[in-house]
Amino acid sequence: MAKGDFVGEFELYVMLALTHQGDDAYGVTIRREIEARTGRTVAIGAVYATLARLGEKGLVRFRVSDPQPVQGGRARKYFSLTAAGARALRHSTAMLARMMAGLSPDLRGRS
Amino acid sequence: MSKPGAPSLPPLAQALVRMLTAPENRAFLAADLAEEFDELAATVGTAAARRWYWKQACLSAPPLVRQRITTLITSRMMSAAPDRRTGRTFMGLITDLQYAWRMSRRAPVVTISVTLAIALGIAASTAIFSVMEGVFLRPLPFPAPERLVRFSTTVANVGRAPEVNYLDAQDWKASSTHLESIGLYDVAPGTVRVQEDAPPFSATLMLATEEVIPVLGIQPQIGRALQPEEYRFGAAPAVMLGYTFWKSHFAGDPSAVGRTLQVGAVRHTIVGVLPPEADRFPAGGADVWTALTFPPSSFLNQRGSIALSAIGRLRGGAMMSAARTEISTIASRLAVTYPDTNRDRSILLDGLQDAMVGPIKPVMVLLALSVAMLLAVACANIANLLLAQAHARTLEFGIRGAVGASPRRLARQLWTESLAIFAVAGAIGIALAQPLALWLVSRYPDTLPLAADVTLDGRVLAIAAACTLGAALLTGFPRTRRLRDTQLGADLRGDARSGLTMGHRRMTRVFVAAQVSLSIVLLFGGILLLRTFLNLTSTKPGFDPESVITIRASVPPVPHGEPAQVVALQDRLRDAAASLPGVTAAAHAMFIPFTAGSWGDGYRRTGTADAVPRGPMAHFFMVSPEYLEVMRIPVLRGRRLSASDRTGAPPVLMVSETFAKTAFPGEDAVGRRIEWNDGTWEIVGVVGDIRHAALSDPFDADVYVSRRQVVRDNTWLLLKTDRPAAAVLAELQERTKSIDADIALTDTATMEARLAESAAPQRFRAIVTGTLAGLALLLAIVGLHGVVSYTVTQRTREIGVRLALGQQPAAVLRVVLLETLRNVSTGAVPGILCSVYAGRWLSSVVMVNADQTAALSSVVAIFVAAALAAAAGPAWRASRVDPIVALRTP
Repeated sequence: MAKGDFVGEFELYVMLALTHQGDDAYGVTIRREIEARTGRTVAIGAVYATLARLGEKGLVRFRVSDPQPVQGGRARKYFSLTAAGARALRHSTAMLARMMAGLSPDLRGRS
Repeated sequence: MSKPGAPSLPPLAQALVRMLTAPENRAFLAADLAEEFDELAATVGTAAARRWYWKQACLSAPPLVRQRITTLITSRMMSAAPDRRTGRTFMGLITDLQYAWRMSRRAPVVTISVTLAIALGIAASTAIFSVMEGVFLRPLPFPAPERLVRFSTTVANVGRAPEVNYLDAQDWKASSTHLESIGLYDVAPGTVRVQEDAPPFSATLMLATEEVIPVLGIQPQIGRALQPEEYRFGAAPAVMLGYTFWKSHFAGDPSAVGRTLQVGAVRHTIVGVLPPEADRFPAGGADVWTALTFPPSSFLNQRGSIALSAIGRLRGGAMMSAARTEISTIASRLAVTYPDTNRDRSILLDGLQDAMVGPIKPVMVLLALSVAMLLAVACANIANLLLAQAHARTLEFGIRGAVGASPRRLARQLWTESLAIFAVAGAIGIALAQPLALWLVSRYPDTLPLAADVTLDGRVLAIAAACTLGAALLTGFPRTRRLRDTQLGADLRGDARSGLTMGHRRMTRVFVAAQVSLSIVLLFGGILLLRTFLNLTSTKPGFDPESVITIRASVPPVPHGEPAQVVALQDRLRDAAASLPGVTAAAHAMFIPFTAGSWGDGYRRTGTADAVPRGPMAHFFMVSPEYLEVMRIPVLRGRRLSASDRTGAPPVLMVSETFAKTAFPGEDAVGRRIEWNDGTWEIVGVVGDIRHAALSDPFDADVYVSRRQVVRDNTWLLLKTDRPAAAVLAELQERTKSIDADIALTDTATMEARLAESAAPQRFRAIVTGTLAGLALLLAIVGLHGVVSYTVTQRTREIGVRLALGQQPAAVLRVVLLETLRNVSTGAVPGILCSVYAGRWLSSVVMVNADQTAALSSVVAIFVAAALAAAAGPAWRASRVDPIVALRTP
């Protein structure tokens, strides 16, 4: 737990993506959500590695769906934040907001 | 996974991703990738989708790998369930090894020298052990080898001979109930010719009675064995080929059976080829096996001769001890029946393998002990080095302990470091062992019996591994004990830098003492053997070996030949040799010094009651008149042998100084007569003494007789020339062809080479033990230097205080040097005591002709000098310590 109560940048992205996707958060949608919003190429391996880490910290849980109702349909692993995860996310974003408060717009990244 | 008919995923990338993903996510991650791939393939095309998939796979690899490693480590830290144990210790090992690697890179010289020293010790031990295992421990490759025995004869007041009497053996065979059979044999050099027009070359002949092959329990691999009638005197000559000989001279061609092989001058029919295991008997193997036959008139057929080797096979269930008793009983019966010859004879039985390898056992034990001692010195050295290193790392361990590392965890770290070094060293050592063993066998001065068996097998490797592990444990323990003694708090406060603990110092001293005493013993042995060798080679043989080339001329026996014909042939050979360019003199002789073969015989001084053969003995040398001149043996009194001393002329001989002194004390031997060889001989001259078998031998009573008065076939040519032996031999070969095409010139060597050869065992022992002793001394010096300089560094502050208080630098120098000498003397006392015993043991097993006290004093002198040299640098540094700097340094 190198970062203590704080979560890493990419961890934050993944948790935010989970929140955005709600019930439909699984590998593909999470990856696309981050890719679309950040404009960076996101590797599926990085997403899963981060989810595993968050899972170990107790911030994320998952459920496995039934196979999709199509021929050769696959089962999906849907992720969601735990209560602790939601708390950690709130805490992190609040800290971020506090840290950014009073900064000029260019430093806040809004060009 | 994709739907049938849909574009397929790139298999390699798919495999990569599956391999790297944690099992619990594997299926889902793959499914996600496949889902997106299918969408992409449908929209932008298969090729683009594949490119995307590859990109995903490559970018996913690093985070996935990182995640799996982290999982492993965290699961270990969280003291996870037992089923994770393997992964946990494995990761721990990896971390420890990484740490060990970083530590060793910080002190590369230490690491490399430690590794090399251990590798060398292990290589040497493994090599010696593999030789010993092959030679002593592995049974002979014959059926029921434990039932094979070998006979030898002891004659009271004369000594033990590895041979027996032929007629005695027949009697044993007839009466023994414990022995299945007894075979007799003689191994002799001979010349053979594979094809009519090919030049003859020398080969080892095994002349055996018909029982030898059944006793060994072997069958020819190809063809047949000799039939019983072929073992009879006068039968059609036939041979069996040794396996290696057949492979090398007949290219392993089965059609060799039925062809002829010329042995000496006689054409023999090849009837069979023996299996490879037959090459292991006798020691060194034989090339050609043929029947041992001799005419009834032969000396072999007389009770007096002890000239044939004998092996036997015990009946199944018979005990060796019972067979011994039985043979002794028969022997004492024979002593009663034939008192003249058998009265003083007793017969010994040994296991065949023991008899074959027994003679080399002491040398092997000597080598093994030396190597073990070197390994021990290396271990003690390394233990000290590691101890010092552990001490230097007190602070490091103090910190690690303070932040929560358990003593067990730290001990494991140290063990990992030790074992890693030893694993590398062991691997290097084992890799070097095989070539070293082969080198040892090839350099061994005599034929090493059963050397064909020297290989690195499982047993040897197990021993090598055990050696390595043992050394690792031996050197690792003091260090971890040191760790246990560590008081973490004290270490952190900096006490670690102020000095060594008592326990540490004591341990260091013990290791230094161990190194010193072992090195002293090794060095003593090395010096003793080296001096022995030097004394030996500086011994004057009594003749001048310089520029003398010796060549054996195998002359086909002239059937019922007139002595005059034999003499004429020998003289023509001599003349041919003398006429070669660059040859200043040439002679021929029946036997030459420092070469197998001599004629020892009894004689009677005319007019005395000397009993033959129990009276005076002498060595009789049949030589051509030029012999004394070629060998530069000085004539002291009387005249030389001359060309006119021939058959029909009055029998004359020359005797050596020792002969003259012992046979005719206080008188002039010239003019006296002796009875020998059915004649009365007049002594016409006295010559200087020579040594003829070994440089260490005392002078014997020698007699020189003209070959024209005692005619024998056996011929050695001696040529005085400065030209190289090979060139002279080639020219001589050309000339002898015109004399007789069947003459084979073999065994060419300079007399100097024969002398050197005779000292080869001493040389070998001196080189091997000398090298080991040198290495041990070097290790001891390095170890001592390390310890002294480390102690000085540790005591810098104390020395600074002493200097600040006014002590003279010279006094500091003296203190350090004295302390070093005290360290050395602790080990020197047991070392010297052990050396005394080692010296006694050494002279009981191998030849030692050096002054032991002188050797011991020189060892002590060398050690004092070495210790002072090792301590000089650190002591000088200590005396130059700047008190201000020393006191300011924390």
